[in-house]
Amino acid sequence: MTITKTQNGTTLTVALEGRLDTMTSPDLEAELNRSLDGIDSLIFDFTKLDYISSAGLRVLLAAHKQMSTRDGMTVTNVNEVVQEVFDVTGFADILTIE
Amino acid sequence: MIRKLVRQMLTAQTLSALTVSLCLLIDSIMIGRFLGQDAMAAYGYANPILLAIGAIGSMLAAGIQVSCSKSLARGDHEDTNRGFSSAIAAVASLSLLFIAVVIPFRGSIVSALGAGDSGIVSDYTKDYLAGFSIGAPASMGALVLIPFMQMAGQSNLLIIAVASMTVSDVVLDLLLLQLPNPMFGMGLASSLSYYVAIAVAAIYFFSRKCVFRFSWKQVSLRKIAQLFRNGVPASFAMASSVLLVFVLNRILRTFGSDAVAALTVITAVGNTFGCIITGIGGVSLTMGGVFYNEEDKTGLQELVVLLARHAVILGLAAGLLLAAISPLAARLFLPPEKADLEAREMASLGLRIFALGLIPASLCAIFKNVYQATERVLLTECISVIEGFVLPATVALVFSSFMQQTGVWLFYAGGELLALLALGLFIRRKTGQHPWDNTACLLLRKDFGVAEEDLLEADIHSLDEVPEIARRTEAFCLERGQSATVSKHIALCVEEMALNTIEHGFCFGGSPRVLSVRVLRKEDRWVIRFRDNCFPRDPIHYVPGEDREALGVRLVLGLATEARYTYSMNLNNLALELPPH
Repeated sequence: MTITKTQNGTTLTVALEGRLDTMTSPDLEAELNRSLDGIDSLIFDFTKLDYISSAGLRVLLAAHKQMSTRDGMTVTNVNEVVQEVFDVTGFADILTIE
Repeated sequence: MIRKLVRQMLTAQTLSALTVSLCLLIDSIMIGRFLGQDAMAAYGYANPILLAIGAIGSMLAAGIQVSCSKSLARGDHEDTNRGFSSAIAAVASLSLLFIAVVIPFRGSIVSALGAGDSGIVSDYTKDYLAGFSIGAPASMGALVLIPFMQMAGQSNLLIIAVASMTVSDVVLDLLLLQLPNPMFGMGLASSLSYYVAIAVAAIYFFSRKCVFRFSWKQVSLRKIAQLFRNGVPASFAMASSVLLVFVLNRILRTFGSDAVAALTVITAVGNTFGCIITGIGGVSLTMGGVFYNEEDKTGLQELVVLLARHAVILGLAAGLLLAAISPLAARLFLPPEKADLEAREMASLGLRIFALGLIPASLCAIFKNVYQATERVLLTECISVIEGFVLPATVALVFSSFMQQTGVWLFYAGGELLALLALGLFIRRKTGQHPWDNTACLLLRKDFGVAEEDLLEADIHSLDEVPEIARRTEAFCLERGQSATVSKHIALCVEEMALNTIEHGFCFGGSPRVLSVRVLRKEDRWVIRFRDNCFPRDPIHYVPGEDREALGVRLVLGLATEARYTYSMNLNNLALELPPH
């Protein structure tokens, strides 16, 4: 999985490409731990993300909790597979999806 | 996993088959040694009735194995409990009916069996029947509880029950031989020892962890009928045994009570060694049923090959042992102070000839039980009758006409060899292939299972292997024309349930854990089967309300149209179905 970060002031955009599964979710978690200091708003760009498992959902949930005390977190450009995962697990009600 | 499972189940099934044979064997030894040749002949005349009790119990047990392996594979606990409740009710009613008929009418029954209306042999036969019939509820109950204990993975408790029964039978035999009516005492001792076995088994069935629940409300005549229907092939086998013993007794009666006593020794010892055959047959039936319900052609093939190897090795070892100890066994049952030399020599020779039939009998048992598990009921019944009665009775009749009683001893080896030959010819005629070619001997219908190219199988041993298996699954589905969305859903299910099993099941020591995954493409659905050898754990019903830790299972249950869990043969089995396209 490829992680591309773009920072604009206190807004961080993280674009993921590939699969967010058991093997790759620790990498995302490590990246977020390194990068969230001083960030008020977090945006995930899932344009090129084609697979997410529960391991990835846990990383998103942890990030969402962390950002809930700041300006928040948004998930954008979700494909059909990922959207269905969010719907089935109830994450569609928790996350801000655009 | 199949190899280990076969070994475990074979040990348990063989030992459990001893529950009936051991009591009969111990009784034979005690009767021969302490009461003499006439008592031994009386025991032989009573045998068809003892076998009849065993036949009813075995029929129900076979029906339970077939019926409950299906309901367990479906995850239908209600139907399984209905089977359990109905089986217990059937045993209770039939055994009480048995007692009500045999005890008051034993005089007429003994006369019909050929022991005569009066005389010492007739009296001994009546006395033994009276004592043994009291134990009918327990001896039938023991046979019926065995498959439930095996399905629940209670092999150790089963072994303890068998051991307890054996020890108590020996002790009670020695005590009750002192009664003024010693043959009644021998029958009573067997009865009481079966009750001891039931008491040990009750430790599990009355415990909270028992997976089967008895309820009068769930007793169903329709279910009882179904159990008997499914067990009919087994009843053909038992009925054939009963008829065969009756015919052999009649033939040997013309040669004197020496010959009948010798046959009693041969059948008692032979049946004990034949527990290997019963064990092999039981494993074929139970595991064959599970593989058949999963349409697992590979599993069935592997099972038959493994069992055939065990059959040859165990049959050879048992045959050599039996041949070596035959003079000792004859002397043990018919000591010089209680029996004629002629009876001992006949028994010894008969046992040696009997030993030749153990390998072909084991091989026949595999095929017969696999055919029963794969719903080839008519074929199973035909094999039971031809192998169990027609061929051995014919061999005995033909050869006794010019070899006297020695010709009769050929009944077992001759009958089994001819049966195996006939089966091979039948398979060749039916399939056009050699019986040992591929899956020809399984005689499966052409549309059984899925084509190899529509099946993905993988064994997972560690967490590292999971993502790769998920990717392979997705690629497998895409190559078969599935949409990217469905392919990813299927891969997700594989990944999530594999992770769940490894994280929650692999962590508890013991033997090496493995998770077997099968992905099958059916015409109208995808089926994913997970099977692991961890401690019993139902992931479907263990989904806490709002606990985010259960995300993976919640995801899978949201994507799958059906999810079924069962615990059988000491394995966790989960089947998921997803829609295609």
